[in-house]
Amino acid sequence: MSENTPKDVEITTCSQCGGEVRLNSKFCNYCGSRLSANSDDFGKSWTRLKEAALFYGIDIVACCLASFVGIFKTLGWSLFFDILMAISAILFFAYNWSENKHLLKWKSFSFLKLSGYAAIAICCSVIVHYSVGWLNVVIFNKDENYFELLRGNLAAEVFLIFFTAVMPALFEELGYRGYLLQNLLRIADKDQAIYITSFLFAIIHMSFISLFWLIPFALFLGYTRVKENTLWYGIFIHFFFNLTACVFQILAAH
Amino acid sequence: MENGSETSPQSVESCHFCYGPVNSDDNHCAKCSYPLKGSDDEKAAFVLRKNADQINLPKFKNKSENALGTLYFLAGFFMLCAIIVFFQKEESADLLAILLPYLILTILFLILGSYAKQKPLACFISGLCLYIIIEVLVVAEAHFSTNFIDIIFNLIVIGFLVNGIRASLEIERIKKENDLD
Repeated sequence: MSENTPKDVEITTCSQCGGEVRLNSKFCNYCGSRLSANSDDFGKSWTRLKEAALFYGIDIVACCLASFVGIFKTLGWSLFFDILMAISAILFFAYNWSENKHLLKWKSFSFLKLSGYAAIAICCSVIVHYSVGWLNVVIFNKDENYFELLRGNLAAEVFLIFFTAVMPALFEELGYRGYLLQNLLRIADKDQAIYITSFLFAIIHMSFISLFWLIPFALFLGYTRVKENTLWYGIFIHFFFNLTACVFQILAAH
Repeated sequence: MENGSETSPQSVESCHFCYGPVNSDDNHCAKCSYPLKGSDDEKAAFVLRKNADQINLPKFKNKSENALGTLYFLAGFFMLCAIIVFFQKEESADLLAILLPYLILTILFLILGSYAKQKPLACFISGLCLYIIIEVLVVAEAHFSTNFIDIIFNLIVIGFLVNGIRASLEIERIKKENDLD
């Protein structure tokens, strides 16, 4: 550091050249690179957006094929697309491994905090179950039960919990709050990045009526991920939320 | 803004471009990244780049306005669809179920358009993805058949929104680098 720098000035390190720079500088005084948190230039930002678009495009195609193309509306194809989207989340997360790997650590683990988040997830799931159920009956005159798709299969309950609670919790968090949110944090400020991730997560579920709870739920997951700087709280919140929904489905079917 | 003076780099105390404070051993200005110890060509290229940003800023703002207008246009389009559907199906028992998606889409695009001035990147990306999903749903419902006018309409809408996203990235970069509001 320069001899002319006052001793009380906070110092940081340039990510490009490793030189010591003043914390409040916008550019590195050695190499001229930008120093801000989302410091990518336009070219890199645009590349990141295209990568994010590819990730989201894969999910859109998988969801649309599974939902709207007749030959793919079977249990086997549903499981295939679930696994495809899980692999996609893993690959994209691993592609930016150096930026994302810290999210798999759980330095801020607290059993009390985890219990609190789980309780919030279960309560919200109960509220959503009854409100969406009521809306489905009032507006669409139907009451959907996804357990019926699996009925007749061995260990149907285990299948339902694994593919509805465990897999989405792990791989949707890995893909959306892991890869996508971390990518967007390099392009936009925290609030915009969380908002975009949440909105995209909500609309991929292809249910207009569910947007009223999907968007707040996704925002909650996004802000929790940024606040705790780990994916694990979000994974457990998502798991307990979906598990509660599974329990309702199983109880209703029996 | 002027470039270069004959003063020796060792005694530079303010940047020749932005007049921010610099140390004698700095290679670049920490405020604007002006190449203090660069060649005349590097300094000239820097000034040209900064001037180009100032010239292009109104063009990027225009593209952003077009994207904003596209979001409001889509809100109006879905409102019109809702009105048409209402008059066509007003005797139907499932009127609310049929009308609800159009009303939700109208509200969503209106909200996105309203917030696009404050958070353009988020609103344009959200609007683009929402529109793409809607079009995929529509095409799937029509058993993957579409017509030429639909394709042209989609390309125009998507084009405006994609240009809006690129423009908002550039505007944010220029504003950050030049300390503009």
